[in-house]
Amino acid sequence: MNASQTAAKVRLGELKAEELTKDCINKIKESNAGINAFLEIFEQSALAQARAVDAKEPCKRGKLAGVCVAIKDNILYKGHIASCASKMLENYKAPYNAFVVERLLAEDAIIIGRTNMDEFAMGSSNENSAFGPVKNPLDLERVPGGSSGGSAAAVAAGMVTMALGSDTGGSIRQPAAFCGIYGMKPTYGSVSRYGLVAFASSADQIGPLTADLQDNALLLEVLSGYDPKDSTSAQRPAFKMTPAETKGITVGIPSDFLENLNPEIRACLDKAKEILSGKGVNFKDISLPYAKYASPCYYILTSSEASSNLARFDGLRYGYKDESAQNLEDSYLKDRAKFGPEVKRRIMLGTFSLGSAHAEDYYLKAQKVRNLIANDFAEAFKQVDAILMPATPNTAFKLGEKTEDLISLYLSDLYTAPANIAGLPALSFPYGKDEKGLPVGLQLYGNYFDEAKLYSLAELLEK
Amino acid sequence: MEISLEDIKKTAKLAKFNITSDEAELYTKQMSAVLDWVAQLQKVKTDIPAAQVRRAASAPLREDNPRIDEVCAREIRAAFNDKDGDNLKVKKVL
Repeated sequence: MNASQTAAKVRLGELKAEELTKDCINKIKESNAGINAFLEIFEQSALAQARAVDAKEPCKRGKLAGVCVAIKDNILYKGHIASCASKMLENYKAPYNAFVVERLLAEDAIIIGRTNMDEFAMGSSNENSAFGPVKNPLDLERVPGGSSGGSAAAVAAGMVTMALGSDTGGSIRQPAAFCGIYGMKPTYGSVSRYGLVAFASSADQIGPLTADLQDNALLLEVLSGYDPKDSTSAQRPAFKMTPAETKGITVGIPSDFLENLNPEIRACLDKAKEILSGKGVNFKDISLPYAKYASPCYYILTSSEASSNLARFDGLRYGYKDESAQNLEDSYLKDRAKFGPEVKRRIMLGTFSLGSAHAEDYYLKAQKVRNLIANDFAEAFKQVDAILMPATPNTAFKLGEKTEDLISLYLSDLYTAPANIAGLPALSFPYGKDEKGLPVGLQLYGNYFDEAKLYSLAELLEK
Repeated sequence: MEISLEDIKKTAKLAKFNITSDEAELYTKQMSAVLDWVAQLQKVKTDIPAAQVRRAASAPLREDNPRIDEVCAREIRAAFNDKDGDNLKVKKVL
């Protein structure tokens, strides 16, 4: 039973939210130990919420009535810890609700707990958590992807049917691909960032991870909408899933961007192309000459933004406070020692890239390349309605396999980072398996606010 | 691009990180590898109009009107352990 069916039964009074919540808590307790997807179950508040839903008249219950939803540990839920999987914020309690949390509560979802992640959302393997790595439920020796690895693993293990992640360079879509589930990075501005701990504000976007395609669209409907508290929130109506006409539309394949693609993933891509062609979708070769620069561009820009955003974790405004510090400088140095190695590395890369001696060559150069990448897509969407490509260059790799090779790890974002750089929506969906039996994720890019078309095309592949 | 040990120490100081000499050496190696990789951006020709225009943003910035969310401000103040009225007390740092 998917989440929308569960909610429908709760709205009809056929299922009790409290029973569903207790079942979910039991499932998490049974499965989490070997996977480490959840950092905390919000048992008391979840059960209280469930009872409140059951106390409502059935017809007044919301779209997600009784559905247990996990939230990534960088999303604020009032009165609950939001640690960003960092020792820096280990005991930080959210003083207010994120916009998306308000939306979930308004639709009677049950916020069941917070999921593990790469520290401050920096990583592609979930090995950067201060609270231990997450294991891929499909193969416990492999990573679930990152940085929303806990959310993806929780869904893939069947602990929950829905989870929230955040995506700055692929952090929803890459773990969705590695875990064989659906992940949407919505158009920048369509989901409020209010209450999301900032990593790189020009690219961060909250989005849904689900086991079911229809549930993904349903969850996006709940999450999206204008929020005056987010300065980049789009002033337009919330997303509504209206099936788009797919017959006769044109999907682009960016051949120049897919050179050297893993043959097993290419086979899945070709199969999807063949199936869609048989259902009336036209295909066109397109060129995205600058897309290959999205990953290095992403690392410069997001690290630069992070070096500024994470300056607030100084022990005074936010974060760990070392009581033995003797003066201000000593306090900064002792408090900021709580950041893990990847966070330190990125803050240093950002500090270097923004320095007066290097800003022209690094930060400003990357901003100009960002314009070229966005322009690539603007040109492409004059010719096609959507773009099909892989979600990841490879399937899930083994824990520790890429720890020593930063560049190889960073290139996990090769096909996902362009969407963040250009602000476009992109849907990662499972399509086939490699010869090890690991899921292959494909990806559909759309023009701004064209999420419905992406869901409709993915649905066509499912039928 | 080769980054020197001195550059790393200076960058760590600016970022307010106290790094050991072993860490400084490790970061020098790792940052050099990352900067070598991102150096590919230098080869991209960006003195063309398409690179100069402001990115077509999906979400234009809102008007910058001053706004105070009293409820939220009160809750954030309430989260402080030590306060005197609206003044928030922190440990002496100077």
